This record gives sequence, structure tokens and C-alpha cells, in this order.
Amino acid sequence: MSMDLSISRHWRRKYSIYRLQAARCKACGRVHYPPRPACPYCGSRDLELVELPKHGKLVSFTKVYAVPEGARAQSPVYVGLVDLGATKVVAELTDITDQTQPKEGMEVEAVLRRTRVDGEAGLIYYALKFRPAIGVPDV
Amino acid sequence: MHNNAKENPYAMLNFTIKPEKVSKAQTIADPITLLDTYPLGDGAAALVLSNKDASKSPLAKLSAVESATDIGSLDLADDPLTISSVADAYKRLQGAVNTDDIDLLEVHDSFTITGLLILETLGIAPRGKAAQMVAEGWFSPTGGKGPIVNPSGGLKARGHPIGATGVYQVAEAALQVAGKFPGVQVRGARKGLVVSMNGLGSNAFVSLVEGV
Repeated sequence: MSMDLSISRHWRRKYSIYRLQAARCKACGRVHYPPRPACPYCGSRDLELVELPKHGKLVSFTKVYAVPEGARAQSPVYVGLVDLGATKVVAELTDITDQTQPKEGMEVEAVLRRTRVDGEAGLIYYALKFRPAIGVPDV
Repeated sequence: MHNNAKENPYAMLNFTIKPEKVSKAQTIADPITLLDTYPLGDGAAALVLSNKDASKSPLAKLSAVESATDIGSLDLADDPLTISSVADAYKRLQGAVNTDDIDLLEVHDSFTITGLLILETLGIAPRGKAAQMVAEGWFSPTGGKGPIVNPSGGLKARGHPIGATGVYQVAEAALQVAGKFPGVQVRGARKGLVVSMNGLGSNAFVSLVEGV
């Protein structure tokens, strides 16, 4: 049995995955997510870490049927482009039912959910997903 | 664009498709279906380059090649419907050579939407109108309106062997302007524009190939 994902890599990214930690460029003021060593817009390395809001608007979405092993139980997976104001993020959508089908412009909020399982004895990975907003803060 | 592959002996999917067949194909990521995506396959293409003094019988002239990079990310892009690297590379090309009266284009339609967004980014189709124009017969060898786009069938039909794809495109454009393309030959073609990129446009190369 092999593990697809690196545990240490996941650990290093925990603040961006669990808290939506982004970076704001002190030179141009723009925010990007996840944080990189240099601003993707102007190249400056003078950055500060900021936490993104957990509530946003759905810009667009897709329903993915080609789902990797370990997450097949959740297939099909909804993936959305979410506008959080300071920047946009691509994230999985969850709690989609017949009554809450995603729509462009829909209000969504972050919630901690399982993403995939690395084999039978492997790690269970979690991440923030977005669900149709019900106004109850979860994270 | 895909249907041109029927005549192309080098195409992987050398058959025509109808809109219903595309929409009824297996969904990959809604609304993109299997026939909206490129087939996985191997391929090899080559170009022999020389300066004009060394070649006695050149096939075509590679007038200019320009490139640009971008973030290549859907979430970091200000406008996900414009491919900035393609726009920047094309602007540089227009500064280097005369791009009026293009007879044909070979564009990077790795997915249906990518090809349409490239046409809109180049300004060959107005924003949001490319799909409708293609459906109306624009850019087709029989439509007679606008330059012919992807006479090879494009990436979705000719195939997309990643690293070899850009070379395929330039080779196809060179054969077109030489009047020697074995598939859909654009009659009297003199100028071919090639748009190559990777992924979501983290880099792009735009080339002008002219007849000699």
C-alpha cells in the first residue's frame, strides 16, 4: 500500500488549508492564496500573512466526475471558484442537495470537512470546503 | 474545428462529431464532456530551421515567435475569461510583424473552451461570441467568414502529445502556407498564426508562419 500524499507537505500547508491563511503584498497591496514566497502580481517578497474571511460568493462551479482514488465515495465532487473579497479561492463545495444546487452568485461559507483517505491505514485528510451559507459560523 | 481532422492523415480522432454527440458523451467536469477534452496519445513532430541563405528550397518562413508568461491560475486571475499570456505574446508579435490578412490559425484548443477563449483573447471573435460564431460556420473551410481556424482539427482531434504539440502546430502552418498540407488545405494560404500555450496559460508562444 502506498501513500499518494506527503504528510509533511500537508503539515506545512496546515494554516492555509485549515484557516485560509493568505498573503498580502506590502508593495502592491494585493492578496493571494495560498501564500507564496513572492507576490504573483508584482514579484515583491515583502509579504504579510493574513487570514481570509470564511464567507464569500460563488463565481462559478463545476461537477467533477473524474475523481481520484480515496475520494470516490464522494463522487461527483463539486468544485467552486469562491470570491472572498480580498482574493478568490478554488475549493470543494459540500452539503449540496437537491434544494441547495449551486448557483452563480450564491453565498457560501467555509466548513471543515474530510477530503480523502490515503488507503486503508493511511492518513485521513481534512480541508476547508464551502457550503451554501446558512448563517451559522462553523470555523 | 474538430471536423477538419477527418481529412488529416496525422489526426488521432479523424472523424466528424455533431453537437449532440458531444453533449451526450461522458461528463468529465460539468459541462465539459469527454469530446470537449483532448485525447491522450503519443506523437512526434519536427521542424528543420535554417537561415535563409543556407536553405535552397525552404517550405516556409517563420517570421516571428513571441512569448509571454502569466500566473496561470484561475483563482489569481483578475479575469478568468481572458488568457493574459496569449494577449501579451500576440501584442508583442503585432509589434514585430504585420499580422493583417491572416489566412489560417492553429490554436491550442486543449478543451473546447480553451480554443474559444483564445479566439476571443486575440480579438478574432468578440468577447462571449466565439461559440456562437463557430456554430454559425465562421472560421470553417466552407463558411467563408474569417480566417480558417484549426484546419488540422486542433488538439482535440489531431491529438495533444504535450511537448510535441507546439511543433505540430508550426509544422502544420508551414505546410499550409506551402500549399502542401495533406488534409484540409486552406486555398492560397500565405499567412498562418500559431498560438501555443500550456495549462491555463502560465506561458504562451505565438508564431507567424509565412509562405515564401
